[in-house]
Amino acid sequence: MRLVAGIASAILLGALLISISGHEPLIAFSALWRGGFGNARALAGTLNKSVPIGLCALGVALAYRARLWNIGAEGQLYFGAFAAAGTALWLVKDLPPVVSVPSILLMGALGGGFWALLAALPRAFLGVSEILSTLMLNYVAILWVNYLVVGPWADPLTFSFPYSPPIAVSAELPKLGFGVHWGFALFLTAAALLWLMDMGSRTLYEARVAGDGIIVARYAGISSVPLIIGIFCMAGALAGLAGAVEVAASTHRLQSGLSPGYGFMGILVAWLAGGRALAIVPCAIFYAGLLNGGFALQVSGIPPAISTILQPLLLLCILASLALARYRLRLLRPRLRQP
Amino acid sequence: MSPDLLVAAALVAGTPILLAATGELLTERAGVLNLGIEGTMLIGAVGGFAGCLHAASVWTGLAFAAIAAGVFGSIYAVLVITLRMNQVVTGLAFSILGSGISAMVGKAFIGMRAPDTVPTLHFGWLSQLPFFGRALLQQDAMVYLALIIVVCTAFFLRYTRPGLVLRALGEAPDVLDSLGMNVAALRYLYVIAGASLMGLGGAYLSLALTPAWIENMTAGRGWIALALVIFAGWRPLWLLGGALMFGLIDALRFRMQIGGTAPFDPHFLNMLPYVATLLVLILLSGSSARRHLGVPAALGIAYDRERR
Amino acid sequence: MPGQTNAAREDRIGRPLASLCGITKTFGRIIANDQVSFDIHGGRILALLGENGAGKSTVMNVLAGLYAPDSGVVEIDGEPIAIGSPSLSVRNGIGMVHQQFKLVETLTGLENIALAVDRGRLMQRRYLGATLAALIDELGFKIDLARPVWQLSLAHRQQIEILRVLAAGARVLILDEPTSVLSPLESRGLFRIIKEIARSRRAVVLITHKVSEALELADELVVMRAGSVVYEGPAGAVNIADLTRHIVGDRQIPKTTRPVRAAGDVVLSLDHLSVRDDRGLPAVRNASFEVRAGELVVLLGVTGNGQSELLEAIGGLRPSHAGSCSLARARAGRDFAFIPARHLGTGLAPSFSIRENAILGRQRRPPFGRWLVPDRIDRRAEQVAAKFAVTVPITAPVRLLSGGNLQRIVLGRELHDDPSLVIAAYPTRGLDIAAAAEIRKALVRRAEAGAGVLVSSEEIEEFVGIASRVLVMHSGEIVGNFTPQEVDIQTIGHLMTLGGASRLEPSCV
Repeated sequence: MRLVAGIASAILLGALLISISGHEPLIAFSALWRGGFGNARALAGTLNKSVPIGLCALGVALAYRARLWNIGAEGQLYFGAFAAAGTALWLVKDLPPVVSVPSILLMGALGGGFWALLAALPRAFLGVSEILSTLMLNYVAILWVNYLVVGPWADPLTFSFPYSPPIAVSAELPKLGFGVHWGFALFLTAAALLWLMDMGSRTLYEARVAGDGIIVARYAGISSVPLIIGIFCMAGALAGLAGAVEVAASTHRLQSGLSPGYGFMGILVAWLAGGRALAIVPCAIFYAGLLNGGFALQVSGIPPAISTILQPLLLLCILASLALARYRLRLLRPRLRQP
Repeated sequence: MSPDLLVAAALVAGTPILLAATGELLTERAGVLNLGIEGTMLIGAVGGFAGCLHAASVWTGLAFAAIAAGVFGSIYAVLVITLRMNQVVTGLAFSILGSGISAMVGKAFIGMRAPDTVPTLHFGWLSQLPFFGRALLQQDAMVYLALIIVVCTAFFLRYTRPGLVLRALGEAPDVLDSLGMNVAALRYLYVIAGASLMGLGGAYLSLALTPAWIENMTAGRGWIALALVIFAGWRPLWLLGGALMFGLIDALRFRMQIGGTAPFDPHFLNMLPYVATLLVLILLSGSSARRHLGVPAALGIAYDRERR
Repeated sequence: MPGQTNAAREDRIGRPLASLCGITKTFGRIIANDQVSFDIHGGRILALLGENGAGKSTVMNVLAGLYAPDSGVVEIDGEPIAIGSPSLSVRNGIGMVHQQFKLVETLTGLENIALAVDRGRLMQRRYLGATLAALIDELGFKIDLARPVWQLSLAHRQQIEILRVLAAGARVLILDEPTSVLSPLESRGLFRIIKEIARSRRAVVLITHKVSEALELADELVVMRAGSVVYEGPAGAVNIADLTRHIVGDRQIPKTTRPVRAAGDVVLSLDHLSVRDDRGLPAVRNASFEVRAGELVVLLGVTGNGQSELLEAIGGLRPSHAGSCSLARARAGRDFAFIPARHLGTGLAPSFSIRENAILGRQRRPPFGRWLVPDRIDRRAEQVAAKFAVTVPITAPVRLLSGGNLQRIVLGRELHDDPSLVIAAYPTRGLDIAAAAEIRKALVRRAEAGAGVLVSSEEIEEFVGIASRVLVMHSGEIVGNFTPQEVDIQTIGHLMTLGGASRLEPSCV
């Protein structure tokens, strides 16, 4: 019930904002819908875009099971993209697809995992807030990629455009069908794996205990440090994989602005889905639809910023209506003094 | 490239960051983490531009920017203080929200020029002094205003009683509660005041630095402001040094990109603020250092008197 | 007579500074204070004695305005006053220093005092000010108020707390177990300060369970037991034996069943074990004893004398820094039962359900492997809940359970696979009589079945009747190791409150 209230208020507020700035809400919403889900091509694009968003969201959700915040998905995505592109452009250039494609994806995941390690180690050993450290690392990774694509890895054929030469066709991630690429299957598999692990993985159970408290973990004989590092790097690997998929399937090259904020959208989606692995799939698809719809709006007169507004607005309204319910519950309960 | 012009450019480039960082400092000293700096700055930028257009006066624009950002911040305050929503997610969502709202509102302003801009102040013969004159004394009014705000904030924290209360607010709100003070109301005050300052910082971009409205014109300055607060150990006067440094990096990078010949790639220069902050975070992690220069102990935790 | 001065003797004839008349306070069905009445005189030190749970802190919290009483009146200078909020009490000159200090650690001592005292000023005070300086002088404090609190020792922090309360205008100073955080040397310093405060015509109320302290410092004694006042009078008029009897009551060792099984092999052996507490100070010194199969060993002692740290060290929550303990730390986790003193946050993960907590600590032992089969967890959880008849559904979050149910879940889990050693820290704390009896019975049953059981407790008569052996702990050392036949309750009480050296006269200072 509260969920419906949240969605409804998001729609109303969005409509309000749209009309204040002089546009027609209904036209805007329908254009968004058409751009995201209206026809087969739009749907394919949406599903494809749901992959990086969803993979990052899975990483954020996984890390949060141990009460760790992965705000660095964006940076891990970029670093994974860098590792993947480097592998594609130089290491596996002449190898058959059956070797090159998995290698690229693997290197992307390792790259993302490494980038997460840089924040996981200070967190595990020194207690440095991973929120702040991953935020900082984001921009280091983005700037690193920016540097490469206008510097050493710039495409010699099209100088002044910030991207690398295209990767070989053999390294591309092929299409699944209907314009959707294999990355989508990867995403679904990852979600299913996380769902499965949630059901019975002891490591995940111990990670959740470690996130609940250091002392409880010690009581239960759990050693927190390796768990923190392991879970956080897994989360980074998922984001890195997202970057690799983007390079191998969408852009086919390393470029500046590879991600329009997939990492941050992943955080929104993870929270919208309540951290649940299976719920992340439809949520990621929905947000990808909003994103895609926003791109499509560029050609019409309606500002594409609408989708940028609706994404956080939806999450905020839903979270707020849940919080409001808790708050009212507290006000009604009489204040009792405990001995 | 004369050093005094470089310093002058650094001051200008550092001003929006300084204003936003001061705002975030006030908010964090009160115990609230506001990750929506980027979005708030953008609201201020577009609001300031709109206000200036409407009234053909830059001061109206700046006032409007502060008010618009303050309203934006007050919504954040309600969600995070009264409803006790998670500060990290809400802050990030506000950052994106602010960018979206400003883009939509600002679409009408693209390509326009502000009718009025911040006046440059002249100090008579002082401004003609070698080096100091050109570097420091030929700036526009906002640069000096920002400096005054920072110094006032430092004075406030160290010498006034409300400042003492603010210092306790972010460290031990339960102590203030037990003394009968209203923790929530105080936090509201500082979140909104902080947001207004962030809005002023954003408005400086659209009304003085560029001056025009461009979508997402903050270009990551909000995150640098966040880094600056950490880097400065949550102390206002140290913000000055940090802002100058970051401004210098900004100015240097700009000149390096134009100049073409550079000893190293300007991108690495841009990484410097983030890497430096990360190192500072690691160095600050020892428990004695943490006390001396550290994170306000209650930062990011919603205050709940009845917490089980 | 100890503690009295000429001024104090005069005040004695005069009116009391504060009076409690018929204070009654209940929490639900628990009667914490029952018609409590006594007088507090200016210029004198009053010790409020009693065991844990006797109601001492509750009645003082009423005086300080943290609780509103159900009935009863408080009088200051002979006039009844309004009570029920901290600010009302402060305005009437009542100040309390709690065990948890209300200090902002990053501020200096002066700033902390200024926070409480300088309402309505615009500028922060930079200097001591005349009144504060005079106060410090008068009391003989020697603290550096310019240093941030986190740098100060607990004793100095306590002094700042006291200053803060006095500077806000307190004429009645209440100290709640002040020596619980102090070393013996620091305690002497505190005693000097307390005497100075009394000399300044203020009244001091010292809440304590340590008889030696009370006798050394106090002019008046009030003893509470089970919510009522059982003795009120001058300190010189009573001897230690009588006092202990007032505190502990005329209770015999109850005739309950004791495990009859003969003691078997040693299941736990400690050899000069030494453990430090959270502050790095020694909490346990050279503890050595054995627990054999079939024995129920009770470790008695007043809270704060090291029992918690000792049991935590045995259980693996805390490292020891000297000596040894015979328990092997298996990689597969504990193979003995450990019931910690606190549940949520130690023995139970607060945000998990009963179901998930049912395997906590056991998740690495058979039948649980890398993959936790949901069915097996369900079965285990149901067994754990059923063991002590917890009727709450196993999917309920543990945070919502009552104290009694929390204890039952932990016991059910820990005793599930018939461990050969059971370590239990204060297992009946905070429980009602029926629940406590249930738990005692379970522990006895385990001992009879051949396990070695080590229990720590603050209540003498609770376990003495069923124990095979009694250990008494004081100031981190084992000061007594007997079978119940060898000792009576009064001696145990002595050892618990006075330690090894039991003096029969109060010391004269």
